[in-house]
Formats: sequence, C-alpha cells, structure tokens
Amino acid sequence: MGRATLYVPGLSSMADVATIASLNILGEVAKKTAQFGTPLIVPTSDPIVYTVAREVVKESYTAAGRPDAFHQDIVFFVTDQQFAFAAAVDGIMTREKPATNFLIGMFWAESLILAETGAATGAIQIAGTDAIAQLPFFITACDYTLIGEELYAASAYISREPVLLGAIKAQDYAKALITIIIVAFSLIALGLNLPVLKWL
Amino acid sequence: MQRRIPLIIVLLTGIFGAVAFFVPYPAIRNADEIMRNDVQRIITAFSLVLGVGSIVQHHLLKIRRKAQFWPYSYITIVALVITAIIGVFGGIDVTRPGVLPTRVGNFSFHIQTIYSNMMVPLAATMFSLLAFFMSSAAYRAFRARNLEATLLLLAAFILMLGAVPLGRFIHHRLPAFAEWILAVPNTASKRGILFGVELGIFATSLKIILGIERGWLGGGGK
Repeated sequence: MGRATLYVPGLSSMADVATIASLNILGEVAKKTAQFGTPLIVPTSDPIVYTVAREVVKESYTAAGRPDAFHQDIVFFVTDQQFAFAAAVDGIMTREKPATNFLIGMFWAESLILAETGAATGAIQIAGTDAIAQLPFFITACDYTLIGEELYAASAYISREPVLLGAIKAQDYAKALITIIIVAFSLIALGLNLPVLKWL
Repeated sequence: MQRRIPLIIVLLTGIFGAVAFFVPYPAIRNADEIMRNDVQRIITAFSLVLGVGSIVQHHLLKIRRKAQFWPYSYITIVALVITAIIGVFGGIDVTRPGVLPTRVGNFSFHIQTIYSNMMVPLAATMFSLLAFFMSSAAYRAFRARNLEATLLLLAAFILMLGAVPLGRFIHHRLPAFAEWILAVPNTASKRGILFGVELGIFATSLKIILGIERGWLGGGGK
C-alpha cells in the first residue's frame, strides 16, 4: 500500500489522436488516485503534452474533491529525446518502484525497454497503443493491453457518459458495415470474374 | 468563457484542416501549410520554455525537499545549465564559433561535439539494451502456457526455420509457408486492427472538433 502509480502518456505530441485519448484516460486515472490518496507520477516528453496533462490532473483532483492533494510535482517534463526519456522513466521505475504502470499512448522502439523494466520491478502494467508494431511487445510484457481502437474506447467506457458510449456503438456498427461491404464486394468480384482475379 | 474559447479555436481549426484536405484551391492550401508548419513551430518554440521551466522546478523542488535520490537532481540542473550556455553562446557550427570559445587546445566542447560524443552514444546504449529485453520478453512469450501462447510459439518457430537455410533442408516448401504466414494471416489481422484504429481516430477527432469529448480540457464531459 502507498506505492505510486506511474502514468506515461506516450512520446508523441498533441497532434497525435492517441495522445489525446491517453490524456482522457489519465483524467479518470487521476480521479481514482486522488480518491484513494495514491501518489501519481506523470513524466512527459512533449512540453505541450506536459501543459495539458498538468491541467487534466489538476481538474481531476478538483473533481474528486481533493484539490489540496494536487501539487506541481505530479506532472513534469523530462525530455523530448526518445532514449533519454526511456532512460529517465526506467530510472523512475527502478527507484520509486510504482505499484502500477500505465503505458498508454504512442510509443516506438522504447516500448519494450519501458515494459520490460516495469515487469522486472513487479508492477501491474496496463498498456495501450495504436502502434501495431509495438503491440506484441506490450502484450508480452504487460498484464493488460488496450489493442488499437480499445485505446479510444477506454476513456468513454470509464467515464460512462452516454454520448461518448453512443459513439463507440456507432463505431462498432461502422466496423460491421465495412466488414459486410468487404465480404460482399469480394464475393461479387469473384463471381463476376473481374480483373482482380488476375492478381490472385 | 475559459472553456468556450479553446473549444471555438479547436472547432474552427479542425474544420479548416478537414476542408483544406479536400479543397485544392492554392490560397487554402498555402494557409493550411502555414498552419501546419509555421504556426505549429512557433507554438512549439514557446512551449519549450514551459518544458525547461518544468524540469528546473521539478528538480529544485526535489533538492529543497531533500527527496529520495535528490543528489541526482543536481546533475540534471548542472548539465542543463552548462549545455544551454554552450549551445546559446558557443555558436551553431564548429566552423563558426560564437562569443564563447568552445575549444581549449585540442579539446573541443562545442554543442555539436557534446551531442555527437555524449547524446548519440548514450542513446545508442539505451537502444542496444533492446536486444536483451527482447530475449527476456521472447522467453516469457514462448512458454506454452495456453493455446494462444502455443500458437505463437509454433508460428515463430516456423518463421525462424523458414528464414534460415536449415528450413529448406527440412522441407523445400517451408520458406514459402513461412512467407505465407507473414503475408496472409499476419497481414489480415494487422489490417483488422488498422480498421478499428482508423475508425477510432476518426470518431475521436470528430468528438474533439465538435466539443463532445472535452477530457483534454481537463474538465471531463462537463
């Protein structure tokens, strides 16, 4: 008990939708840490992400009725250099030994370095990314992984807001429609002997 | 009002970005280029001040509180200040020195020298750790604990055999089978995930532009 929660919102900028989705989840995570009085550590690799993350955490602490528990040290900027950031976060993991590591957002080659170090410290790890190349690393090294679109659905799912949940349902319908269209047109192409057959 | 202004800015820039993508009119394309490159660069330059401020504040606070491992914070602050001074006053290029001399005899401490001889090797060291982490992760993944892990182990085994000359000796069609695993089931599942990701990006972008999703403002849906 009393060990910290580490939240890494990826290494991308605010221009990346995955980062925005990650910050939405951070808001809900911060509410929980504020409620239970758990220390929260949020290292960031982009100055704009740092500013937004700080506001998100501050608002969440206020919404949870614990504005006094928020301090400037929770969210901080580390560096925008990929491996320097990985080294700094690895250092935080080994020194502070957080009980939970959230690795949610956009990651590149540093994903496995972070996830394996976290696994070595014995933390429960929850990862989420839409970077397909990094998903196998997270699935291997983390306890729970949000795969692709689950990253975007997660914040709506946690917040339980009807409008946001409705958007997820619409996405599922769109996916079903796209699948039907792909299957139907593939069958039509095969049936009508279109030039597509020459490529098969 | 504190919330309304950012929402209006997001709505206008979001709609403009989407329109500019479909409208080939040069004036709109130019304005879009300026927004994407120049405006974004200016904002990033200003935000860097916030970033540096955050690092300094974070580490000074640690030193003041004598928090755990606080002496490391001195190293960060000293390195930041020295590098900034050399970078600002030492000139951009080794051939064009600034007001600060960056060479004592044969010893150079120019910003480019520091970058090439400290930052690059340190980053390469971190990157090379990946090889060891990969082997430990592979060991964990390949333990056949359940059906999925067994399938993963089997697929990886076939792929590895298919990629080396031994695979051809075992069966002449093994490399082709390994290639098929990569090209068909692997690509199909990747594309399935991609469909979901693209739809998720589209839906989230729309929610942000229309102000339905306001978590990034720090106030949840309120």
